[in-house]
Amino acid sequence: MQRHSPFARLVATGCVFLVGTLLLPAGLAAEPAPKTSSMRDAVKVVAERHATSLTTSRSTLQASEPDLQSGSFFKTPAGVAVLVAFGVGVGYALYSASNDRIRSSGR
Amino acid sequence: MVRRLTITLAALLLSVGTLASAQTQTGTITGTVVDAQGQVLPGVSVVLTGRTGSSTQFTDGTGVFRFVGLQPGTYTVRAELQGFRPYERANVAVSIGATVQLRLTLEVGALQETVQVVAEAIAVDTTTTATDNKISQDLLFAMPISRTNAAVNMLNYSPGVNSGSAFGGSANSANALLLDGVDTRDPEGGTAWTFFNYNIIEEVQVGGLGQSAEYGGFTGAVINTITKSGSNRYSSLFEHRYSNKSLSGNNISSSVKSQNPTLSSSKVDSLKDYTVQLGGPIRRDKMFFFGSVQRYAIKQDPDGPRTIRTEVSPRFNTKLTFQPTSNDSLTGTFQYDQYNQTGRTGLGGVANTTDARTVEQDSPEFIWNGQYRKILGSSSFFEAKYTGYWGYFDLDPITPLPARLNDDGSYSGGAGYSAKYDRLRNQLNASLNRYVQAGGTHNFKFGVEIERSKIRNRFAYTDGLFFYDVGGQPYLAYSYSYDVEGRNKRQTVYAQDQWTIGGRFTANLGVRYDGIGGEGSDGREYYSTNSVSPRLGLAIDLTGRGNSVLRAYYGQLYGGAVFTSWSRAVPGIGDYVIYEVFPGNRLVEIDRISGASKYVVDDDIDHPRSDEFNVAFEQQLARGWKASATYIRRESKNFVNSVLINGQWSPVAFTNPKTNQAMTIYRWANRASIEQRFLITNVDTVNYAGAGTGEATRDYNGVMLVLNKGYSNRWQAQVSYVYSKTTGTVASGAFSDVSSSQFETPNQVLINRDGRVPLDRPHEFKLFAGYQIPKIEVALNGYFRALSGTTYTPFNRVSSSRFNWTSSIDVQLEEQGSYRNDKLALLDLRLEKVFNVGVHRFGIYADLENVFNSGTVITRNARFPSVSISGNSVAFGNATAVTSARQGTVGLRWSF
Repeated sequence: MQRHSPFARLVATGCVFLVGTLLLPAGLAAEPAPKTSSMRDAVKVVAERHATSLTTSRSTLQASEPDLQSGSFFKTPAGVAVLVAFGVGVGYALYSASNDRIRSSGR
Repeated sequence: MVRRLTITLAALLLSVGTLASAQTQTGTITGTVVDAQGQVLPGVSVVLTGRTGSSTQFTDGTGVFRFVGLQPGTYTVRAELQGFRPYERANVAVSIGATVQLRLTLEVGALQETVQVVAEAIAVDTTTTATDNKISQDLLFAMPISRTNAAVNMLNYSPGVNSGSAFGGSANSANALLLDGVDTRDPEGGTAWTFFNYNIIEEVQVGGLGQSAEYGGFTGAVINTITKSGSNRYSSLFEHRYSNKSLSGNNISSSVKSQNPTLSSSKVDSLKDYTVQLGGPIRRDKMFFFGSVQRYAIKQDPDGPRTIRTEVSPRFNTKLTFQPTSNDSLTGTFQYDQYNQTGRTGLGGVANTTDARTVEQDSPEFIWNGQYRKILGSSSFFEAKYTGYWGYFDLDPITPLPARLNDDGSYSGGAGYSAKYDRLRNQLNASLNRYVQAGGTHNFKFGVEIERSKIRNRFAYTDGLFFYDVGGQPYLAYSYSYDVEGRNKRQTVYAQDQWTIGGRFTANLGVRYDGIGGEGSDGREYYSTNSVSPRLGLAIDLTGRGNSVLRAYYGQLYGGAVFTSWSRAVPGIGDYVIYEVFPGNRLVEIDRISGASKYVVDDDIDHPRSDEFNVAFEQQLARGWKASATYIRRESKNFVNSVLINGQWSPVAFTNPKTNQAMTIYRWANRASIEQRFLITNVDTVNYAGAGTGEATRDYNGVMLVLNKGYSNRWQAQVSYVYSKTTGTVASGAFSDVSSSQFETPNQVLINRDGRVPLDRPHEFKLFAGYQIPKIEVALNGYFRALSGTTYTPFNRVSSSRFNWTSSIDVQLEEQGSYRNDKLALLDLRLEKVFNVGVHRFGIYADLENVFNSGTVITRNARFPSVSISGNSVAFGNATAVTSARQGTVGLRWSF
């Protein structure tokens, strides 16, 4: 998925929030304010922190499975074995498709 | 890895009544973020991380977030807000059509102190009225599930479905088979056409009850199969399965053999089935690939006199996924496969087919699917799909000689025929999902479907003739052939709303329009129906805590577009010519029946449908336990059949040969004064002049109890019991709703026809269970089912002259369903030992189907007093088929 810049994300979020607020049904808009810091502050802070949190979660994933996230996996012995096994499997199936085919007369 | 797998399995194990409501291929995660006091928190950052990247939203003014258009799989949800400890919920499983509802509670604290939670495996959806069974790839991976035809076999593992008949619906032909969201059935009669590799399945949804308006084209069940895709992580699977004759049992007892000497156990001489798969990123977060290749080869010694049947099926699958932005997804899939088969039966069927009398089958196929998905923020998404396939199957005899029926009932010569069946199917689907807040939460969906299919069937006797021999010499010969063609046209529009009011009441409202037409090769429209089907459902969260729900549903379900309903009306059938055969094979024509169609289709015909009403209660009992009880009623209507136009009937006495009591049969009274012509029409009520009024009915009533136990303490299970009753005058065999000649005379309508239909099984018990054996760490998974036998009714084949009719008629001698076949109890097991090396999983497993080698008689001869099978006289009530014998299969697989 595309990762937007923090600024773009902030602007987009702000727009969505603004439009959403305008379109909010009157009954919902009249709800009491939540017991937290102001909405604007919350959005701003979280938006600024967001890229960091994404990076953190992504690097966690990479740390646990380093081989399977990039093409370098196929340079490892396991990766080579995968390519060989896959190639053999595809090759034999292609051979089978050609040689085991029952060809109907009149086609 | 085994444990992870089994836990996931537990989460998805055929969980009846789990979250289900909306789109055919995707799911939704929605939720509310609150603080410790339960106050909603707006502006919270919610990050969803899946296999193909991450996506972020902020909660709205009511603390609600929503991710729509999600591919099935597991996700991690992380919520953050300044001043609160981040909350992370892992392993959130999204299934097809599921709406996962979360309530995330943020506690005051530092951002560094993340609260991590693993999602609850068993959950109750309090908003849907659908009852679905989700079968994940993990389940398919673990259970000893039959693989011969993945699309169809999945169905029979579900509660309420047996022998392809779902909740009293017609066997096989009444079920919609969706592949990546689009129906791929044979447009001729609605049975399975596309066969695919079992291992390409990501998840299967078997939807039967309470379906929303987007689901149509079925009066039984819907099987919705989603195929695997590539992701940011390279993944692969290599599997090889093997079996041979030494792993095949023989379950024909001497007593059964004495009843029917032609019976024998089918044996697998050799099975060699391998799959190689590879998927991963082409460009991270942007483009992904998935490729799968299978070669399935089996050699069998089948039932009956045949000694060999072979099948070699190479199958190639590719899928490319392109995500230009986080909100756009383009997918293209392609399959090419062949189904090369030898040993298929000749004229006379299984019991009369020797090796020399078989045909071989050539059937290549291309399947394509392109789709585009656009996510329009947190409240809407749009999907467009285009799917089609092209294929044919040709049957050619291996011995190019005409078939000969001998006067003792046996057959000789060659298979006796050749045939060619061509298919082309195209379908376009487009839909828009939109969530709206107005007097509650609405989840609207609007969709359009357009289907165009082409069918061509050709058949001819070998050398144009079929012989009837007397005393080993040809006596009569017949010639017959056809070349018929038709096109199905379907336009569908639907709208539905899942409207949640006050958090506890959800109304599921929908309406669907299907316009179905049939056009012959002459450009004439033969069939035209317009159907509007309402779907009304209500779900009530009884406690307000999301653990107990009461559901009610009423819906009208219309079948799919099929050629077979009107195919008898199109031109293309050759004359049926009868010859007397003289020495030197000199033929002298003695009768000729014109092939010109005698059938016309009623202009006011209505499409077959089933009306469904169900009430369900579902309760989460404790952590990991869930139970449900459902009452189901289905009533079939608009049966399509044919009736004699202007026919008059006169009752005549007939002595029941089984009871020696007098009974009445009906003779065609005005044969001399009218032409034999038939009207293809709805036969719900038919007035037979001089005989009485007949009705086409089939009603299903059932109670379904299901108990799920999620994985804990090394075991998990699902147990179900269904008590049902299917009664009526029309059986639930394939095509019974859409095409039959049963109503052409009153003799198969008014005489002993109302009763338990053949596929009625009052008692059904099914158990899936898995246990992880400690110390040796071997997974033991099993599937046990115990079913009532199907019914059968004694009949006598009465010659045409008794009825003044053009052919003999089978007259039932007792009330329909008066006899029942044996109860069935079968156990299948899988033992698997797994070795984990880093991320690599190596498994070795053994499957044992029919562990106890049960030889239950599943069908008996219903013809009274006897029938001739391969020259052997088989008396009424004697066995004609037994269940498949024990079969062992071993497998090796490597995956990561």
